[in-house]
Amino acid sequence: MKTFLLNILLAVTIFAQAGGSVGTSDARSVGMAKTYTAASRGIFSIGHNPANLMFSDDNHFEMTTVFPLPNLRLRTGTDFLTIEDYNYFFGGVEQPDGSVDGRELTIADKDRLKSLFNDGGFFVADFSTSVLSVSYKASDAVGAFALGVEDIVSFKLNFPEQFIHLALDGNTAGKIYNFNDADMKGWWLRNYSLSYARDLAEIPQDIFKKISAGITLKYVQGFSYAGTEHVKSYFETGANNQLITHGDFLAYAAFSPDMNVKYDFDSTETDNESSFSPFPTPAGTGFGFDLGLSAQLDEVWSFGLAVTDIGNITWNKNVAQYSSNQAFYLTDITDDDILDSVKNSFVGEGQYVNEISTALPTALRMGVAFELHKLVASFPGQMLVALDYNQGFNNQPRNSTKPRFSMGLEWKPMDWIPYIRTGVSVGGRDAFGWAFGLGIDAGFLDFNFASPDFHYLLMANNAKRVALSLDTRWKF
Amino acid sequence: MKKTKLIHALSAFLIVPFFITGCFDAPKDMVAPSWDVSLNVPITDKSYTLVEIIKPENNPNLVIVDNEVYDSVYFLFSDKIEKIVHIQDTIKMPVRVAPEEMAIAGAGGGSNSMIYNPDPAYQLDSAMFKSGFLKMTLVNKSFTGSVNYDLKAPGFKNKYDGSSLVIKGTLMAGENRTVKVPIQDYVYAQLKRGGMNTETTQRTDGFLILGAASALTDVDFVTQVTNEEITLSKMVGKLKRTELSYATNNFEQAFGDDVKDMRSKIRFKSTKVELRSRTFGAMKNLKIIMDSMSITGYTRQPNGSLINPVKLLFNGKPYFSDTLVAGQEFVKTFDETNSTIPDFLSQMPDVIKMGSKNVIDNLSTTSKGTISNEDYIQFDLTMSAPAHFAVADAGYQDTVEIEFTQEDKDNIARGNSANLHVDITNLIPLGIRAKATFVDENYQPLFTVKNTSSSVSNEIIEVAPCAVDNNGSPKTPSVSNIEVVLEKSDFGKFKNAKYIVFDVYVRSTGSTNVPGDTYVQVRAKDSVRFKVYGGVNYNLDPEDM
Repeated sequence: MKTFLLNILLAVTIFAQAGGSVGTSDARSVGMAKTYTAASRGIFSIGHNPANLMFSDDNHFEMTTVFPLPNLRLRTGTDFLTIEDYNYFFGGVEQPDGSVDGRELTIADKDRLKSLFNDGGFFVADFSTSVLSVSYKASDAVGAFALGVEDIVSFKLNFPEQFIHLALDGNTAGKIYNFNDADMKGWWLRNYSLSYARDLAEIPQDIFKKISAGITLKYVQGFSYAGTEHVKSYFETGANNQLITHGDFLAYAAFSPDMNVKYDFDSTETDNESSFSPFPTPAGTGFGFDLGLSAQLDEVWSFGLAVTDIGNITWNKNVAQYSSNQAFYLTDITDDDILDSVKNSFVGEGQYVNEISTALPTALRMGVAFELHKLVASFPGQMLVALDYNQGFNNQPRNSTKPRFSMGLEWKPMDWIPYIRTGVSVGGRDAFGWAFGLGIDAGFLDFNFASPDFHYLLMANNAKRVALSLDTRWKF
Repeated sequence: MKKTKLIHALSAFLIVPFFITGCFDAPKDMVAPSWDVSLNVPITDKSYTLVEIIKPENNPNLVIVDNEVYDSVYFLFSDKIEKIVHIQDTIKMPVRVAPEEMAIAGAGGGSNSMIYNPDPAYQLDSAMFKSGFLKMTLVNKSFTGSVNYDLKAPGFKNKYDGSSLVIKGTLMAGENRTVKVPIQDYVYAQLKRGGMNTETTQRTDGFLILGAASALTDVDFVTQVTNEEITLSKMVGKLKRTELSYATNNFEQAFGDDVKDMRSKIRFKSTKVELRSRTFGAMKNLKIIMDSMSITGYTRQPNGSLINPVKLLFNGKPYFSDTLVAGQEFVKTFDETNSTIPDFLSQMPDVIKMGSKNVIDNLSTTSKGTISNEDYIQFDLTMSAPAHFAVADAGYQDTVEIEFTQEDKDNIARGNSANLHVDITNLIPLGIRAKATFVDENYQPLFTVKNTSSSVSNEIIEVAPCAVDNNGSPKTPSVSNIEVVLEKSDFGKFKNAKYIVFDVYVRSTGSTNVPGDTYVQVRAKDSVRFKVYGGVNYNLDPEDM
């Protein structure tokens, strides 16, 4: 068994689940509106609450792999532009001769476009995948183990609202354009995780039927990172059109040496071309851990508490810093030197730095779940109801300091009907999401499919995001 | 059972995506929209001293004078009007009509002497000659025998061997002979004055000729001396009063092209004209009488003809006379108190013609001088005016070609409106009123730049001159706020614009359409501050960026 597990680890073909308070997740959790702290089970507990590994039967083995279907989690979109909006504003206008010209925006069009960007424009792209992950629960006495590897590519961009006003209307005398809400972060990480959970039968108590604790240790490799630390830039157009500018921002980037990314400030000639490898040299590494508790009150109620992704990544290869903190009072645009300085104050000057540290998307999760059919004897089939509170401690990709509440249901009306999962999520960066998913328990194999933004599927052209999770799980 | 579940699962995975994709319109290919956007920018905020605007190095007629009297005031100088009068070939002894005769007679021989002076007005102590001949006609009046003659002019020494001028020979009975002596081969030095004419002394001024003749019989020998016109190359002695030929010189573009547009619109104060003259060469102890020197300005017509003559009056006369002593510098300055130089300058003549007659004479009736054929007299005339003037709507027109490409013009045509604010703080006592007209290639007006802040006309851009003190020096700056606007229709017309025609009128403090009583001082150190900002509303098409 040890050899088997070691081989899996070395082959990097096993996966754990992603962290963060708002990121994509396994299809079962996603179908329940990313409600997982008390409801996740087995291998899908990793990354959410490792203590839930103990809810499996004794001597239970689970595995995910690319067969029969690959495990994919994809989410991309904006919070401001629907497909219909996109087609209207950026789809052009067909001319009588069949050609397509750009739309000439009217004042009403501009007002509508600006209203779409109220509070800025948020764009997110989040992709994670797993090829194989494995968990094994030996017994309540021995505990449960899991190993996993997960690749996460995540990017988020907050487009400043004022920038849209500036682009559409130009600079109005007497107005301050503040870009404080500009934010961008993106990374490609690979987590190698090792989880262990066990019952805490040693704790003298008679409230809960069962209390379990779990821990996941993570070794994190970072292959690329780009992100802003802060943006406090603004500019004001004075009464006589004088420009008062203040470029104040700090951003970092780091890339795997295998990518051969060449920074604009680096004049070193190189003939190297970027190369793709499934195992690139990391630009940074770090350690993190998840802690989880779960408690089963009785056959109906269960509770979960977890803190995930506690730790940091230290980026120390090809690390660049772009920064600026300069103010200008511009009354003469004929002075090329000053113009260049103003421009540089907004784009910053780059330089190599030895290393930077970025926090993992640390989040607190609290959840409760109950099995409704056990409370209501006449309830058709089986229904699991779960509630979650997720609180991110930073705004790293897949995380948000805005609290997120969710409620998810998993219903299996009849034996031959697939699991029907749904739920709503409120808060976090997306504000609202109606999730829906289906799951098939085919005995030794589960099929799960879900979307956390199912309402957008129904809204069709008014959709702002596309999000899908798809996975399979082998159970033995 | 498990097979059934598997079929259900796969069906769900197939049906749901089909359901989803059927509800979506596919996103179209991105075509960027276009929209109207305003850009408001500061353009410049700079101060310029006048010397940065009017660079003296670009106009040699303008010079900055910086001293206690003139505090960096511009001076308008005419080009130096220079005239050179050469002495060359003007010191001449005319042909003496009646020859001087010297007769020698006696038994077997005899001698005589004579002093020949072609022009008694000359008294040559020494001389060199450029041309001319002494002409001697020798006659043997005896019909019975030949005569040997020996004539000497001891004042003439051969230039090459220093020997005296000697004419020797024999005349047959009754023979006549003419001998022409090329005088340029000799230098002349008059002998000491003495009681006798000998080879070392002579009794009076003139060319001493000693003659001797001998024969076997009685001598009857006559020498008749005359001359062909003698031109001296140098002389020391008394000079015959000599009038040099009357000469005129034309001076083109005396004040440069830049100022002629101000003709009759400008009135100068503290103007002056300065004449400097002196002799060059060996000339000394002589005087040059400058007689009837006149200065006249003309306007040149396009066909080259000169019109509107304006004479510079000296003490009310169209000429002036004075005397220059050779070897000394003559300086004469005329200003508005003794000449009409202000009026003359206000005309800004294209061409200035200077004429004069000069007479060379001895300093006194008894003095002797030196003069040579290489000597010359130089006259320098300079007119200057400090920039202390009153100017009233002196106008000029300038045409600037628009050097935009068609692509530039197309981009400009996307403009909807534009405004340009120009706040001018003017500490220069000159203001302008200007009009800018865009014209097509046939100079047909397309549109005029509009100034919404003008109190005169919305086509006039006006900058007020500053206030001045009693001396005409800038005291308080004027502030002019100009707002120039372009409308949508103007941008459309811009496509056909080929030139911009500027009509500019310059006006000094206190002057309106005619020069006022206030004379302002235009100083290089005075400045004007331009604060320019503006905005443009245009149609932004990212596809074209």
